[in-house]
Amino acid sequence: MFQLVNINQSFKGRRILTDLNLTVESGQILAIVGPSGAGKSTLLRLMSGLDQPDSGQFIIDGEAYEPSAAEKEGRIGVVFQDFRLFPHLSVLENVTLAPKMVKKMAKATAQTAGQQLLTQLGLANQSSAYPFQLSGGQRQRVAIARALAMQPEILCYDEPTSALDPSLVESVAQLILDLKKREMTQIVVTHDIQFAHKIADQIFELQPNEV
Amino acid sequence: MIQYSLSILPALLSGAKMTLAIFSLTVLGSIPLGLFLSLGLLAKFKPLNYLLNIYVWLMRGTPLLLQLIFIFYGLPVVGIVFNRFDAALLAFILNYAAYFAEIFRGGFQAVDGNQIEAAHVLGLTYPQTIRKIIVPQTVKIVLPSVGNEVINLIKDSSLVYVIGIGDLLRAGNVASARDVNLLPLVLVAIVYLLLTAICTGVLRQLERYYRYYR
Repeated sequence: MFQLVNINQSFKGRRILTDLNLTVESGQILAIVGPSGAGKSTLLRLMSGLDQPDSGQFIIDGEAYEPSAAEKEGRIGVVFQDFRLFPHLSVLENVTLAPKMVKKMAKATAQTAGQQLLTQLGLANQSSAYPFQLSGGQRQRVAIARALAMQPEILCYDEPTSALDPSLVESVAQLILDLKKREMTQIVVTHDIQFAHKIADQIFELQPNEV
Repeated sequence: MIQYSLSILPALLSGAKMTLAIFSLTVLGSIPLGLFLSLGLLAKFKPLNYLLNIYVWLMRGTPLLLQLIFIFYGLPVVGIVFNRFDAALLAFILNYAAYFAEIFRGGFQAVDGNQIEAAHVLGLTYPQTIRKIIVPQTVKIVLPSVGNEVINLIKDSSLVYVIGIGDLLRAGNVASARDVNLLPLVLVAIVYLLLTAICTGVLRQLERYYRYYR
């Protein structure tokens, strides 16, 4: 179970999140929806440790968790809207870099695990390709594989449908639901309400703060 | 003509050896120093940025020829004496490091910053991110500009004549003045062209290698 307790965050003197409380049960999918400017991305940055909240707490399975701490060991994975793959590394290297560097996994072990992940995500033949050679949908799946390789307890997505061809939206939904079968806890930030209804167990609507 | 060329060749080759020595030692010294300085230029520490900016301004803002003269003839006035070769090397390394520092600074800044966040979320430390994500991509970005400077350096090395070092150009000059013949200078030009061609070829190969990603 992942909980956010009384999270407050301002940006340049403007209050964005006020006393936000949220709970995601393990293995479930939470969709966070809301208009632009409501603080969806801000919330995601806090959960992934890229920013620190002004106040508030994160709790994983009853224990306080600090996303921005150095020794977080990738417990929360993020799939960015623009994927942010490393262009100079092959698909497999993108996936194995963090397990090797952060988890100190042996190269061969990381490669076997990475190749297995890529196969599960339908990228078995792309492992030696470079990101520029892939389609948008393939890049997104590499980004998911890269996050999964760290064996996170929670996987977050930032607008997973916005950078994709509309025809691919269905397959992203399927992918997220497949991961749910493997009991991955997932948080999906999206402005696409229809998509949210399709995948989520719980939908949280973020309202813009009154100025 | 061929016989004459052969007769002055040993002198030219020994000059070329000096040119190559200055060239290669300057490259070996100024690229790491420039890398180091560029990190200082990017550090979030204002006094250091300020100091390094003055350094870069001095080095790029005055002629290299003047810097050579200053180090070899000027510094002894305050008791710092270098032999000719060390003085030349010092001047070249300090000067070229300033150019390289600016090139590397621009290269680092050109790497997509979003990837740094991606690396951070994956749990990579900052030094790991620099080593595995930023530096490899910076190399590709800076390669053409570094190549330009390196090729410039081959010819700039001829400035050492001013402190009496016998490099390639000086050897040609001496022969030309002694024999009242322009041929030695033509040969000198050919040697410079050959050196430049080799450098260009190596740089092309490097650039081609880095084309594996976009």
